[in-house]
Amino acid sequence: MTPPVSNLSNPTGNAYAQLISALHHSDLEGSTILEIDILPSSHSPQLLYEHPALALPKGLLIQLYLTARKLLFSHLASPREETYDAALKATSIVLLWDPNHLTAANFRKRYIRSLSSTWAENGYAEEDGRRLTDAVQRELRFLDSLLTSPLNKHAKASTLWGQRLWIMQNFWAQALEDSSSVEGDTPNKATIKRIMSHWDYELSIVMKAAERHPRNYYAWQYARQLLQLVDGELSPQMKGIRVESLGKAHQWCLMHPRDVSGWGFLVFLMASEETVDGDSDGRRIVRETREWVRKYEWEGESVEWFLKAVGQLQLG
Amino acid sequence: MSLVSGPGRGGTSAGAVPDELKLAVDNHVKYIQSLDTRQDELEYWLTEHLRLNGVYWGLTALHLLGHPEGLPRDATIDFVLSCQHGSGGFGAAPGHDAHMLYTVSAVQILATIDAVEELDLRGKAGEEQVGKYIAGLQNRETGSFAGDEWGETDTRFLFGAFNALSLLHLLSLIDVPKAVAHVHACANFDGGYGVSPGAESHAGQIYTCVGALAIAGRLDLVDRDRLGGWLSERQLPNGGLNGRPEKLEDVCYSWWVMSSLAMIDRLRWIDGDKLTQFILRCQDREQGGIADRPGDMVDVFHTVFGIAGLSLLSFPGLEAVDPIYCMPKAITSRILSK
Repeated sequence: MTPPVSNLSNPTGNAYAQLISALHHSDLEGSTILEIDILPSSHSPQLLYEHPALALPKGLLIQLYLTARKLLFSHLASPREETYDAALKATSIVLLWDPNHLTAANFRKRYIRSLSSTWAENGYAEEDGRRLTDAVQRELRFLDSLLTSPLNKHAKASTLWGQRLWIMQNFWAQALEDSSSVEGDTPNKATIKRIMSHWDYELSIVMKAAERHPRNYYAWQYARQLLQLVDGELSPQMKGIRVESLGKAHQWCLMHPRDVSGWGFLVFLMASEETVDGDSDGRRIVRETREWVRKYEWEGESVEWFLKAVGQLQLG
Repeated sequence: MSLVSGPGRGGTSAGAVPDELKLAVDNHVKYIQSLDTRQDELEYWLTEHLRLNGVYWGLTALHLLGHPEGLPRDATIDFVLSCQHGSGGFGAAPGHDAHMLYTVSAVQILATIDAVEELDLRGKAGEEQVGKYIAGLQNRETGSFAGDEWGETDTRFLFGAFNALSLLHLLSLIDVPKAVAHVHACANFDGGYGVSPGAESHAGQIYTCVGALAIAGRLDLVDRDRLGGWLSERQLPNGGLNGRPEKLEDVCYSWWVMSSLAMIDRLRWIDGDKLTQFILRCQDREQGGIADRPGDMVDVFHTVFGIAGLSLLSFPGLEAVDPIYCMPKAITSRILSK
C-alpha cells in the first residue's frame, strides 16, 4: 500500500504512511492498545509515535483525514481490487477523525464478513479461519484504542460500541481467539475460564471508556448487551460472572459517585434473577452504600437515584 | 447544508446579562444560510457523516424563525435525492451508506417543503419503497427497530420509523402494537425511558419513546406525573436543562425535555422564564447561531433545538413547533389531516 503522494517534499504524504503504519502496528507487536492524543493545531505538524503512545496535531489529522476520505470514497464510487486495500486502511484514519462515520465502520464490517464467507466457501480451511480470527482480533484492538484513548468523543460513540457488539454477536468464537472452533459453535464450546477472562477484559474497556467520558450511556449499554448475549448460553456459570462483577461495579461507582450510568449498570446487575435470589451480595451493597452516604454526608442526585432504584428491587 | 458548526461564539455578552434579551432572528437566519456557502472550507468535508441531518436542522430552524424561503427549494430537493439509494434508504451525503436516521431526515425535509411527490417523480426509489426500507428494519419478534442492515437497535430508530412513516401515511407497513409494547418495556421505575429495556432514563430517549407513543395514540401508557417529575428535575439553578442527573446544562435539552413535557401536558413543571433567558444567553447575537451553553461555539444542531425550545415556550415571533415531530405545527397538521 502506498499513500497517494510519497516523496520528501510532501510531508503530508509521509505522515499519512506513518499514521497508517502506527494504527496497524498491533499486527506486529501483538495486542497492545494505543494511547492516542490529538494535540492543539499550534503543535508542529508531525506525528509523534513511541509505541504505544501516538500523538498528532489536529491540523495534521484533518489533512490526513481528507486524504483518507478521498481514497475511501473514490474506491466506493468505482470499486477495483487494486484500490481495496488502500481504502480499507484509510477507514482507520476516517474513524480516528470521526468516530461516528458510519460508512467507514460498515466498510470494515464488510471486510470481516467477506473473510467469513471465504472461510465457509473453502470448507472451513484452517488458513482462512486463522485469517478471520486475526482480522477480528485486530478490529477489537483498534476499537480498544479508539474507545479508551483521551479523545474528544470516541469513548461515547454509538457507532464504535455498535461495531464492537456486532463482532461479539457474530464472531464470538474469533473474539475469544478460539481458532479451532467451527462456525455455528455456540459460546458453550469455549471454556468457562476463557469466557470469564474475556468478560473481565470487556468490562475493563467499558470502565476505561466511562472514565474518559463520564456518564457514558453507550459504553454501559454495551456492557448490558454483552452480558445478555451470553446469558442464555451459560446460566449456571452466569451467577459467578454477575456476582464478581457486582463487586467491581460497586467499587467503580463509589469512586465515581456522580456517574448515574455506572449506578444504572449496578442496578441492572442487581436486578437479574441470579443475584436477587438469596442475595446477600445485593443487600450488602445497599448497606455499604448507605453507610458511605452517611460517612461523607453525600447529597448527590445519582446516589440518591440508585438507592431509590434498589428500593424498588426490595433490597433495602 | 455543508457546514455544521462555528465560527461564532455564544454568550458574547457574558457577565452582567440584561433580563430582557432579544432573539437575534436576522443574524440566526444569515448564519444558517451561510452554512451552505462554506463549501470551500474544511468544515464541508469534516462533518459529512451528518450532512442530511444538518439540512433538516437548518431548514426547520428557518421555518420556526419565520423564514421558510431561506434555503433554495430546488437545490435542497436535488441534494436530498442525491443521498438516496435504490433500496429506498438515504445516506448522510452522496455515496454514504443508507441508515434510518438519514432516511427520516430526508422524509422530514421533503415533507416540510412539500416535495414528497419528488420521490415518485425523480427519486431512485418511490414513496412506497422508502416506506418498505424503513419497515424492513423492524424486528418482528420484539417490535424494536434496527438502524440499518447491521442491526444496531435503539429506540431512536423506532421513533424515526414512526415519525417518517406517519408523514408518508404508511404506518400500516409496520407492526405498531408490537413496537408500542417494546417502548413500554423500556419504561423505568422513575417514569423515564431508556434506549432499550433495562437501560437508565435519558431525556433524549424519553423524547423518542414518548413521541412514538404519541404517534401511536398510546400516551395512556405513560406515567405522566412520575415522568413529569423526573423531567422537571432536569432544570438547574442557571435555568438551563440537563439530560440526566448531575450532568451539565445543554441547550438541546430545551428540546428533548420540553417536548416530552409538552406531550404529557406538563410544560409548566419547568420554570419557563428562567429557561427562556438561559437559551437567549446561548446565542451569538452578532454572528448568529446558538451554542450548547453560553461561551461555547455555535452549531446548527443547538441552533434548531434552542429555537424549537423557545417556540414551545411561546416566545413571541416564532412559528409554533409540533412537539412530536420537531417540525412547524402548521405543516404537520396539514399533512396528518389528509
